[in-house]
Amino acid sequence: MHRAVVWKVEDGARFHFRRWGDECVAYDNATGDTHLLDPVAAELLVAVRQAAATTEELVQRVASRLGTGAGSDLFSALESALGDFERLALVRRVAQ
Amino acid sequence: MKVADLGAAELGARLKGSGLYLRTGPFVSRIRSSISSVSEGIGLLYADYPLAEQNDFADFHVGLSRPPTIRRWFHPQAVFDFDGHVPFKPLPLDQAYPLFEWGLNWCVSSHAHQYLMIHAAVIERDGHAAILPAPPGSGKSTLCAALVNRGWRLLSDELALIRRNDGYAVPLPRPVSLKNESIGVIRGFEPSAVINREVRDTIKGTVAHMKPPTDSVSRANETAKPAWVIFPRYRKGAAASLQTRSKGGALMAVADNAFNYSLLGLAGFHMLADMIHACDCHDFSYGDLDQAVEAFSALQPPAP
Repeated sequence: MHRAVVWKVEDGARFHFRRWGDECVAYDNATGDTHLLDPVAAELLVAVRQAAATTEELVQRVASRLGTGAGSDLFSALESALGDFERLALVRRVAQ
Repeated sequence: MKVADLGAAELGARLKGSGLYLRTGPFVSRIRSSISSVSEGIGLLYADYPLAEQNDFADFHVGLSRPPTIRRWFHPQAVFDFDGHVPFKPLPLDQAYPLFEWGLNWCVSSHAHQYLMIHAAVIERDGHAAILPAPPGSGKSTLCAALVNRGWRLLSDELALIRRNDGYAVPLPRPVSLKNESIGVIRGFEPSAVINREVRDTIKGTVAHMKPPTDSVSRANETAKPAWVIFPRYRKGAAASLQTRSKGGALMAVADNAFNYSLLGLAGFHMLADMIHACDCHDFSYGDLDQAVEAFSALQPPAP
């Protein structure tokens, strides 16, 4: 049976953000790493930090926050960003 | 009392004896050495510096000496010690003075974690500080040397010390390190600049140090609020050009140039973000020092 991937952040309070216009810098207090995020990536990290969610649910949340449509371009961008986040240990995938 | 008040004989005697208690910015260093080039360099470049009370507390106890090995007879060397430890391999005796300067930089960058420390020059005008972070070879020290000979105050050519409680830059004016072609460039740019003897074949090439302006030394207690973060880059033949750098990009680049950003953890992030937020951030390319000075003269502090 197919199980949707759910993305989760361990201890969302570990992230600290600063924003300047479209730019966002996130400090990860768990690792000491600092990440420069574009607007989509920043909203994605904020969205997944709110609550664990599938990629589809995250697309809806991010689209709502950015005030854009939840189209295939956004889906692709988020899939790619989630892969980057996973490699950086910012998020992890859990089975639903 | 200043170093110049001692005279060469007393300076040498203190260095060979119980040590010279030298005050540089917020630090006191107790320096011992019987190497003549170290004594001469300190006498020339630190002439305006205040002395701390003899045998008073010192942050750093350092020495430059000739290791008592057989090499002392045919390839004499100099070794730097700190609190009785030897953190670096010996260098040829001729490089003793640059080794002293590099050693003092190491003392600060390895221990002064009460500050956010950035590998950057810092200069000041009208109470506003410009932080110039840059990797070696970017022309940072050359630009810094030129600007402090044209009215800017030197806070440091190597180590920006950002105070943790208020984000102000704390001065640590020390001799400006010049390398290779930069030495001749600054001699030509400001013939009255006091530059010590060139030392060749160091790990950095030919090096020499420029004496800081007297005013910068006498005002070493005056902190300054950072107003600009400027990333200099020398490019032969380039016109002076100041381009805005995004604050996020600037923060990442300064973090890369900081000595203890990771060590300070979340506090370091907030300090750095606060500083970047309050500053105008630029990339600056230049190929001519007069043009560079003119471009810096036109800088306006950020709107409050």
